[in-house]
Amino acid sequence: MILFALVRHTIRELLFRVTLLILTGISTLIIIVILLSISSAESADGVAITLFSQPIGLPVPIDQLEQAVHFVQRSLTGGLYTGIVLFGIIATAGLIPETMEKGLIDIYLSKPLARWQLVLGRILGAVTIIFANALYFVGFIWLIFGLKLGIWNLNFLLAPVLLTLVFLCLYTISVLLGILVRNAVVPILCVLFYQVVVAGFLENREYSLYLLSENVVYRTIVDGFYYALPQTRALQLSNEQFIVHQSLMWGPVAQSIVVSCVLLGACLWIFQRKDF
Amino acid sequence: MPVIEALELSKTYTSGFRKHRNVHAVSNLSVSIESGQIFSLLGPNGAGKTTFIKILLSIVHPSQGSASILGCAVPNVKTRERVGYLPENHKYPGYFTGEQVVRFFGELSKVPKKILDERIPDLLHMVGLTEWRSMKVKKYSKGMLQRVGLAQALINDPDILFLDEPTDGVDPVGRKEIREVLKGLKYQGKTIFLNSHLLSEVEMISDQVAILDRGKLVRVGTVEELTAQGSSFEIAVEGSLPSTFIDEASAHVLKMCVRGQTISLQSSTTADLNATLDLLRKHGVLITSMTRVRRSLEDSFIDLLKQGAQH
Ligand SMILES: Nc1ncnc2c1ncn2[C@@H]1O[C@H](COP(=O)(O)OP(=O)(O)O)[C@@H](O)[C@H]1O
Ligand SMILES: [Mg+2]
Repeated sequence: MILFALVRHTIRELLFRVTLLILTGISTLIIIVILLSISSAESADGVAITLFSQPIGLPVPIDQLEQAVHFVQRSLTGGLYTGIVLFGIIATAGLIPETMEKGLIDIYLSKPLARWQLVLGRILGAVTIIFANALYFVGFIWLIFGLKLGIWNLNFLLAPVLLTLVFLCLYTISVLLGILVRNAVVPILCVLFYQVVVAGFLENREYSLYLLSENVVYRTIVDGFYYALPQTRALQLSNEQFIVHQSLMWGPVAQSIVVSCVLLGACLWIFQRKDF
Repeated sequence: MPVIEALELSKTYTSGFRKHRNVHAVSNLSVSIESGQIFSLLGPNGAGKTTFIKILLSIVHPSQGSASILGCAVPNVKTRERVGYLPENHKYPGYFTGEQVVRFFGELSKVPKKILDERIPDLLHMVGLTEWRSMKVKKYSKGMLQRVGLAQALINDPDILFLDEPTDGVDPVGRKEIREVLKGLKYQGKTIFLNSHLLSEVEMISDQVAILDRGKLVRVGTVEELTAQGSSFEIAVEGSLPSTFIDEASAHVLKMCVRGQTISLQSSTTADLNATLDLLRKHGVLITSMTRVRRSLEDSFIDLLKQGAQH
C-alpha cells in the first residue's frame, strides 16, 4: 500500500520530466509518420514496403514480405533502445539523489515506511514509466503493421519486456552510484559510458580487448568482467534476433536478472546502513 | 510511563579520508521523557540535539546504547505511525503545493484518504496557510515552509511530536502562533520534544528542559529547578549593619554585596538563606522586604556551559 503510494508519486514526478516528454514526443512522431505513410507496393519484381510511396529496401517475393516487416521492426527496436537508454537514464538518475537531499530524506525516514520500500518504490516507479514508454511505441507499431500489411509479429511484443530488463540493469547501477555520490551527474556519465563503451567492448571482446594481449590471465579477467557485469548488449542483440524469428538466447536474460537482483540488493543494503 | 527513553546512547560520526576523523556527537546519553509534556533540549550549535532526535527516529544509527519510543525499541517502523517530525532545514519537492505536501506525507503516514480530506483543511487553517495552500512550495518563504512543515508533522495526529528548531525563520507573530499551537497540542495530551537554542521561548512553554553540551547531558529538570539553582535574593533592611556581618555571613552565602540598606546575596540552599536571616535578626536588624531575583534560563544555561568548559 505504502509502496504503491511511492510508485505513484514517482510516476507522477517523472511524467513532468522534459527528457521523458521528448522521448514520448519522438515516439509519437514516428508512430504518426508510419501510420500515415507505410504501405506496400507490388511490382513485377515482387512486393516492397513503402514509406510515402517510396520503397524502402528492395522488392521481395510476396512470401517474404513478412520477413521484410520483421527487419523494419528490428531497426525500429534498435532506435528505441538508444532512445530509452539515453533519455530514460537521464530522466531517472536524479530520483534517488533528490530523495536523499538533506531535509527531505529526514521526513521520508520519519514516516512508517522501511528504507527498502523507499528505494524500491523509486525504482519500480522508474521502471514502470520506461515499460509504459516502450509498450506505447512497440504496441502501436505492431498494430500498424498488423492492420495495414497484415503482418502480426508476436515476437515483436517481447521487446518492451526485454528493453525494460536492460533498463533495470542499467538503472540499478545508476541507483547504486546515486546512493554513494548523492548526485545525478556521476551516475548518468558512468551508465552511459558503460553502455556505449564498456558493454560494447566486452560484448565484442574477441575482436577488441582480446587483441591487446594473448595472456591467458588477462583474457580470463576480461571474461570475468563480461560475465559479472550486466550483459545489456547481448540482451539487446538477442532481442533483435528474436524479432526476426531467430531463437531467443536465454543466457543474457538470466544473467541480467541475476545481476540486477545483486545490484538491487547492494543498493538496499548500503541505503539501509547509511546515516542521514 | 515514559514515552521516550534513551539508555546510554552514543553516536560517533566518522568522516574524512579513511574515516580518520571522529566526531562524538552524542555520548552516553540517558534520558526518559514522560507522556504529555513539552520537553525541550537545549544546547549550543553542534551539541548533538539533532543527532539525538535522528537516532530516536532511526534516521541515524546509534554507535552504542538503545532507545525506545512508546515502549518499542527503535528502529521500529510501526511506532512511526504515531510520531510526527519537523526536521531543521526541511525541504519539499518544489512542484508540490502546500496542500499536496501535507497530503503526500499523510499518505506515507498511512492516514486513510477520507480522514485526509477532512483533516487537511483544518490543519492548514491551524497553521495559518489556508490562503497559500494552492501555491507551489518553491515560492514559499521560510516562515511559510515552517508552517507547512508543522502541518505535515501533524497529519497523522501523532502522540509524539519532534520539532527541531520549529520557530527558526518565523516572524515574532508567527512564533507566538506556533507557541499557541504547541500549547494546544499539549492540552490534547501529546508529548512534544523540542530542540531549540531560543531560550526565552523554551522558558515560556517547556515543562522539562535538558541541557546538552558537546554530546553530554549536563542537566535535566523543570525550568524552575534550573533557574532556582543558586537563587539570588535582595533584602532591604532598616538600621545599620554591624561591621562583622559580612564575615559572619560568608559561611552561608555564595556571593554577597551590600549597598546602603540593600543586601544582594546568593545562597545555594534554603537553610543557608534562613541562617543568614537569623544572623540579621540576632544583630537586631529589621527586615523590611525580601525579594527573589529570578535568573533567566539563559543565565543558568550560560553558567552551566561555563562550568562544563572548566571540567
Ligand atoms: N552526518 C554527519 N556526519 C558527520 N558529522 C556530523 C553529521 N551530522 C552531525 N555531525 C556532527 O555532529 C555534531 C552534532 O551535530 P548536531 O546533532 O547537528 O548538533 P545540533 O543539532 O545540536 O546543532 C556536530 O559536530 C556536527 O558537525
Ligand atoms: Mg540541530
